[in-house]
Amino acid sequence: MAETVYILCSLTSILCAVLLWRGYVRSRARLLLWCSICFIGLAVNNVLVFVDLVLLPNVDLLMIRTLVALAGVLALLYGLIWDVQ
Amino acid sequence: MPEVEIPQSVRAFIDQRIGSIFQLEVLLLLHRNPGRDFTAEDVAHELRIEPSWAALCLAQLQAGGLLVAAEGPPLRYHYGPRTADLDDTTNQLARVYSTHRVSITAMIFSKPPDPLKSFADAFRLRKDTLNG
Amino acid sequence: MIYDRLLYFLLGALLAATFIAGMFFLRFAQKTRDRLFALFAAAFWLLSLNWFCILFIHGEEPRYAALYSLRLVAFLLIIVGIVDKNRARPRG
Repeated sequence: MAETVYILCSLTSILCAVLLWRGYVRSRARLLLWCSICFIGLAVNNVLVFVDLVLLPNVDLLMIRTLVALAGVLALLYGLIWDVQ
Repeated sequence: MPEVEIPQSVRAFIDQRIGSIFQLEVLLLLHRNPGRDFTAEDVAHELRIEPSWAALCLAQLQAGGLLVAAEGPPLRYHYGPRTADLDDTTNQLARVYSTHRVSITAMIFSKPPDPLKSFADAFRLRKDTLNG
Repeated sequence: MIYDRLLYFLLGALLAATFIAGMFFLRFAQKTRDRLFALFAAAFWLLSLNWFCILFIHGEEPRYAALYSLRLVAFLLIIVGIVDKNRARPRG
């Protein structure tokens, strides 16, 4: 069950990243670039959680998981602060 | 060039608060009739636009501090800027629009697309986007 | 020890950053009157809560199982937002 959830979360994140990237290409609005990067970070984070729980149960990946998510959300914050008019 | 005659305050106002010609027309309609309450249907009827677009413009203008909403249903709005400065600038805008309609229109159309609108539009999967 | 401190610091930063992002989305929701932003705000706040919980249960693996429900709801809200945006309606 948990595994399915993390896969679903990864797929949703990837979908958002793709849609936002496509939107960025169309509109050239930089906000969408940062949002896309954030969702890529969240996607990788969710994949790493899956790897952490299922594939490598004896290794704690929390540090790298957190770093990746943090990088994504910081990119998002940068865009939300500077690139909304 | 005509653009030189548009005051800076009006330019800033349009930059920050007016996203479309619809919004501008709705604002000016309510500005012309300060004592009167309008519903989205009223505005749609006067301006010959979709009621749902009228409702959206009214709500956005209210969120921007230019209109005051009265209790619904249906929601009614009247012209009520939050500050005296906004009132002054709207008066100026109304005057300038009557004499320099083309310049104001061109200004609105040449604005770079609102990033938030681009964000929301990015999630439309189909191509037939109806703009609100 | 230093590893733990760094980890908790980063988790704290992450949950704070996510919470703030949620606040931005809430502001955009008010400004644009678009439901999508409200849903993103709620989703990011749930993610923030998720990392807040991880901060406190780290090390007690069995409890992790319940956490995924927070993450699930967060991403479901985003899916709801996308579906909502694509329902045939004249308004954005």
